[in-house]
Amino acid sequence: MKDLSPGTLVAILHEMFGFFLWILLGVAALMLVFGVVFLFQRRRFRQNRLQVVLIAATAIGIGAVLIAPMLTNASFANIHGLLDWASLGAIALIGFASVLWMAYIGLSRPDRRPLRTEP
Amino acid sequence: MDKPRLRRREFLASAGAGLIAATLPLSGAANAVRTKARIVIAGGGAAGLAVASRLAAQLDGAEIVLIEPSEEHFYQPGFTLIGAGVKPASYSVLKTKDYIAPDVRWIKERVAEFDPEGNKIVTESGTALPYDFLVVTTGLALDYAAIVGMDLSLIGREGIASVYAGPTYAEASWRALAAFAGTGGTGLFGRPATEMKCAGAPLKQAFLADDYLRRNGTRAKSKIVYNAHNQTLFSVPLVDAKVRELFQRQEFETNFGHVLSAIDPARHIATYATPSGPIEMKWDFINVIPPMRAPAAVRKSPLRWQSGPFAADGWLEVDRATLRHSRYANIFGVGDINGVPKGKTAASVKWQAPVAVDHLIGTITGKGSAERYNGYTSCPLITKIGQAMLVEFDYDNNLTPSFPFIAPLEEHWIPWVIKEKVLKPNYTAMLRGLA
Repeated sequence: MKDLSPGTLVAILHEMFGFFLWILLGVAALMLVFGVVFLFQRRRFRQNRLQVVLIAATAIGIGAVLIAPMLTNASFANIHGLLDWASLGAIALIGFASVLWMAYIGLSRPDRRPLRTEP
Repeated sequence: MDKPRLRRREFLASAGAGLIAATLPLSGAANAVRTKARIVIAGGGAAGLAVASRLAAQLDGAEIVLIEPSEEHFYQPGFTLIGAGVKPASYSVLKTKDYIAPDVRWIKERVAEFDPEGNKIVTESGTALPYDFLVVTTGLALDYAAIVGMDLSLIGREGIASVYAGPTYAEASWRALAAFAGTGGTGLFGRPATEMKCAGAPLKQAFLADDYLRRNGTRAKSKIVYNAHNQTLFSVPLVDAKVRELFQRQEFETNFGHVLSAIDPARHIATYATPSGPIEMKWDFINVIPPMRAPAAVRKSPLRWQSGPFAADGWLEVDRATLRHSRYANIFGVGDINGVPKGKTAASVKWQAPVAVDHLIGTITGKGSAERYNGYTSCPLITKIGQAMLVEFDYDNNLTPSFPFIAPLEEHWIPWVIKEKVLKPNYTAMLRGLA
């Protein structure tokens, strides 16, 4: 594990996911590009949709934390120390942020309302 | 319908590997060294395949021959997980052909004889293969016969476990362990006095047995006995101290200077050679680890160490930093066969292969090489299902953690995740010369 360079990391991920890795990376790149472009636009969420998205993102984040130990043949009893809890925190954050990001791209709409100006 | 799908999958896999290869510095035909050198790689295990892939990527025009009889390749670091019931036997079984670079000629035989004076090797069928460079990657031989009464057919029966002989034996070992965990009793653990691959494995297996006994509620009526071959539990003093602490915490009984010499499966009696004479111990479960030596072809060749600690078992005499043979400058060694301190793990192979290859190519170009192998090796020391310590060290017993945020002597879930999920893809990437 001593030389985890970006090239090695991609090689390892390719061994894990095969050609599916390129599809995943392609989707991730598209999401990133769309997200960045949208950030420069005026966009808005409908209030009720935003609430649903926040609830879904939280649920996905918590769900990811709950299943992560099980996916590795471990349990919560094996989580020990700052390293493990921080890793689980990162998993939760990634799950939460991913859903939020995807929702922002998929559900937000251009805000065409005229800008309010001071009288 | 199967065939086209397989072809497409192979195409996609190759395309992906090629895409990665194009991003890595070792590949790229533009940088390849042109040569007509004849290179023989003796053995197609982890070391042989990794070396072959790297040479194929870095040389243009060389004749690279890999000698390996087996069509199946075993991911050996997975044997402990199979033996612990975490993975099925199939988890460790790969196809050798999937990891042989296209420019490498594969001869499905075993090396029978090394002739370093004549710069040739002879295969079991009697074919002589001349070479300009030889890389010895034969791995090692398991000497079960050195334990009186031991036989491979006993594994999985009479409370006998031994994961080393292959995935099916590792799976049979799991059956023995599961049965023991259900009933409890006395479990005997230990390691041989010879050099061995993954010296942390005997400790892992003792910890795993303890874990299963506790899960089954049979630990209170059981005894875990660890018989160390010398006065230490691990060759690195800092790790040794930690393991002693853990053994005490888990209430293991520890004996030092005990080497398994015989077993009596019918009576469940193991005999240990000790400084004060042979001692017999009764077992309900015993983890047998055979003595390990160089394969006969190396042991009987001039390539072996002639004197010193690695001579008795016939290990390959290489310089521990350059991995070049000490007496034959056109011969290199990588992997378990090397007579060097420590370093009989897949992690060692990963670090040895680039060094040996760089020196070999440096000899071809006349530019030499400054690459050195410092003895780095790694052992995810499992202490229970779901937890491990990521122990990494070098020749000088320095701890060499890869990640500053993972303390090497603390039990965590994350090192277990690395062992369970990341090491196998890392290993197969290494076979392709990409890690």
